[in-house]
Amino acid sequence: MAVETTTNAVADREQSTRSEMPTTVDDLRRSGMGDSSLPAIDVKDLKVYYDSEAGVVKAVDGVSFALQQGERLALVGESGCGKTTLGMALMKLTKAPGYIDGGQILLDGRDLVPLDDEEMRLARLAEIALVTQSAMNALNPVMRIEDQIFDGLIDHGIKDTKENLRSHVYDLLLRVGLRENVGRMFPHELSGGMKQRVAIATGTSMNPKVIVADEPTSALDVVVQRQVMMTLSRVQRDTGAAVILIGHDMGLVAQFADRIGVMYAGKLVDIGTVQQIIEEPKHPYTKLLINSVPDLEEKRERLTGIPGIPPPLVDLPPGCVFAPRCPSVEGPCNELEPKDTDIGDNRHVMCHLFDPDVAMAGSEVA
Amino acid sequence: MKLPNLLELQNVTKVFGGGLFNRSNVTVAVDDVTFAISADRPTITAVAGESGSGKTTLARLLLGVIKPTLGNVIYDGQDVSGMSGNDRRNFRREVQPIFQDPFEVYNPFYKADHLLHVAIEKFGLASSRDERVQLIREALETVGLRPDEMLGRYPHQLSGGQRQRMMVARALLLKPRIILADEPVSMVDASLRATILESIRTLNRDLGISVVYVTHDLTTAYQICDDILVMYKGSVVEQGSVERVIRDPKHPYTRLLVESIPQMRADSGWEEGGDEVLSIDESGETTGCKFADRCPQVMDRCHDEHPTAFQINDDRVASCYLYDEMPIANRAPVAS
Ligand SMILES: Nc1ncnc2c1ncn2[C@@H]1O[C@H](COP(=O)(O)OP(=O)(O)OP(=O)(O)O)[C@@H](O)[C@H]1O
Ligand SMILES: Nc1ncnc2c1ncn2[C@@H]1O[C@H](COP(=O)(O)OP(=O)(O)O)[C@@H](O)[C@H]1O
Ligand code: SF4
Ligand code: SF4
Ligand SMILES: [Mg+2]
Ligand SMILES: [Mg+2]
Repeated sequence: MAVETTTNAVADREQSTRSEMPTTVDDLRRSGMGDSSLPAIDVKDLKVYYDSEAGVVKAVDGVSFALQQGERLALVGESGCGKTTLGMALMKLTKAPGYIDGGQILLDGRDLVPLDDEEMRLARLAEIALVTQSAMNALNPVMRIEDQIFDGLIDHGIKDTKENLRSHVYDLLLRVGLRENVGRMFPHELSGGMKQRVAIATGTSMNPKVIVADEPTSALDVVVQRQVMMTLSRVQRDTGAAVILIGHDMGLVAQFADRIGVMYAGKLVDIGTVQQIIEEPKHPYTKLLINSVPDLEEKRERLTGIPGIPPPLVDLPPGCVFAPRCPSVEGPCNELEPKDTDIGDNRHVMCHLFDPDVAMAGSEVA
Repeated sequence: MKLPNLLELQNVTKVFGGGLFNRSNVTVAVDDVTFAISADRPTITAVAGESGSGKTTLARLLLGVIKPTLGNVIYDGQDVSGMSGNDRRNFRREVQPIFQDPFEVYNPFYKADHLLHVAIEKFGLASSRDERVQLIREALETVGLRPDEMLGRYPHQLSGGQRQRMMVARALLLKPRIILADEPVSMVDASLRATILESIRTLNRDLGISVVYVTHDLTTAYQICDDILVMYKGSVVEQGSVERVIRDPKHPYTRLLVESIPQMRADSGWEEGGDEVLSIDESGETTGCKFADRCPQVMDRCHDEHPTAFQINDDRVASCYLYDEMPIANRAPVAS
């Protein structure tokens, strides 16, 4: 009955702070979405910096975007452009020397940035959950799968009979396509794909409003990757959660997401629907990125990566961060920082070529 | 007269654990694989398959760092396990690896170019310090790195792609005849992937180096390779020209692989469809086709005996009973 005591103690402690949190399995099963007029997540001018010997690393520098319930956004961009830093910050898991320097993370209207550690601990899983590439290695090796999910629920204040909790655990496993007998296994007995499904089951056990998935399948081969992404899709449809998928496999992203956000050197430089980004890339960086991805349609004479390397994120020069590598660079690019421009159809581009207020010879403003 | 093959595996099997006749707890990582890199012209061959299918084991066999349990690895007409002295030294220089995570091969306490200096010294490639530095600079430039930015930096100060290209530069210094690249780009983004693979392809085109590209990324395999070997649980299930195998896969496993590739297109449907519910079943040993428990076209006979390779086109074979009306492939290696 040790479980019962823990459950009560945790529940009592939390009663005063969060009354709207689900506390029973029934609550969980019912827990639908919040106010549907608000975006599931609304990120405003978020800044996440790291202190380093060389200076302040501006890994995420003024990123804004909003996601509706059930919407899937993919964040892409070269290695080191700040995707994981952003994902961790949304979970408020930023570790020193990193810190959130400013901005807001509104979940159903509530800002996560000012929350303290305990409030945030409860919000994780229940409101915003993370599935990472290494989630499968984070499983406790000496604990059965079902017990890990079970404990996770109790940890987040679910207070119910053992039978109800168990049956919920099995529902969760089934939702990610794993039979009951998998629950009784230990992590080392599962394949990578199965472990990643368990990570999805754990991450979504409290029906979060937002799921952040940081390269959830990059350690898996294509066949298993597809199965895991199908699983994530199904869970997403079941719970109505919004998903932020971080990755650099453009094929995967195109097949899974509704919208794509392109990051470069800590900034969200281009955001639009999958079709807009792939078929009509606007930002010069997006164009080069799309062009670097080969397909099975035609065999290319040359594979062309983007020339040059991303800038160090300390001491960024004035003007546009992409200027040193940009084939369309012009005078204003080296002095003036481009601003987020809405070019219609909810499409945003951060480049002077699309800003009616900046005089550029190659301007694409109609 | 036909040239001997540059490097070949003749009916190679590699068993880990237990010993060949102790059936408990053994892994047949590579199962009766025969394949050759021809000496006629420099080629790029892909080795594809899911994780655990034996790709790395195959690469290590080709490198001579592990010995086959059965069969032979032949380099320039000579059995690699019997090599000694000069022959072995030549082999070690002429067949160079590039690994998946280059961070592991760097010692964090030495500067990143230490590896390049060591390689030059080990094989006595330069007679003076100046010459050594010159060689290193040339090699770095060939893979698109700026020597002044790279030299003197510690491994953690380089990006993943830079570390990876340093490894390509190291391989290059030794003027090898064959490069074995084991998942050289699985950890890098699309842009760097293109850059690194293009630098590997340049080695093949301009310097005549043959490349074995181990990967599970069929799109890049299709782009840069001539031939491909698809492995499943240690066996080669389909083998031939990349054009044939990827554009028109015949083996049900290859088909599954190709279908699973997410393509960068705005149509959807890839993540929908038949989504199997998994449970643990110890299917374990099978005497028949290893793919039978997952094969949508499985037939009774598939459970009885492992299918042999059938010749489907002049440049492609597949080991599957669906093609048993085709002639049995003659893959017997040249008698030694
Ligand atoms: N602890 C840290 N201290 C200083 N800088 C850091 C730290 N962690 C990350 N950074 C820097 O922050 C930037 C963004 O890193 P991040 O891990 O978010 O990139 P990413 O987009 O997820 O890359 P990848 O595609 O390789 O996963 C990089 O320049 C990185 O070097
Ligand atoms: N040194 C080893 N000892 C025991 N088993 C091994 C060893 N190396 C590989 N294996 C096993 O052989 C099989 C093939 O592995 P590997 O060649 O690494 O596959 P891949 O590179 O295709 O992922 C796996 O089942 C793996 O666990
Ligand atoms: S602002 Fe100038 S440098 Fe920056 S992406 Fe646009 S054209 Fe290129
Ligand atoms: S031999 Fe039979 S089980 Fe194996 S792949 Fe062919 S049809 Fe499928
Ligand atoms: Mg990352
Ligand atoms: Mg491997």
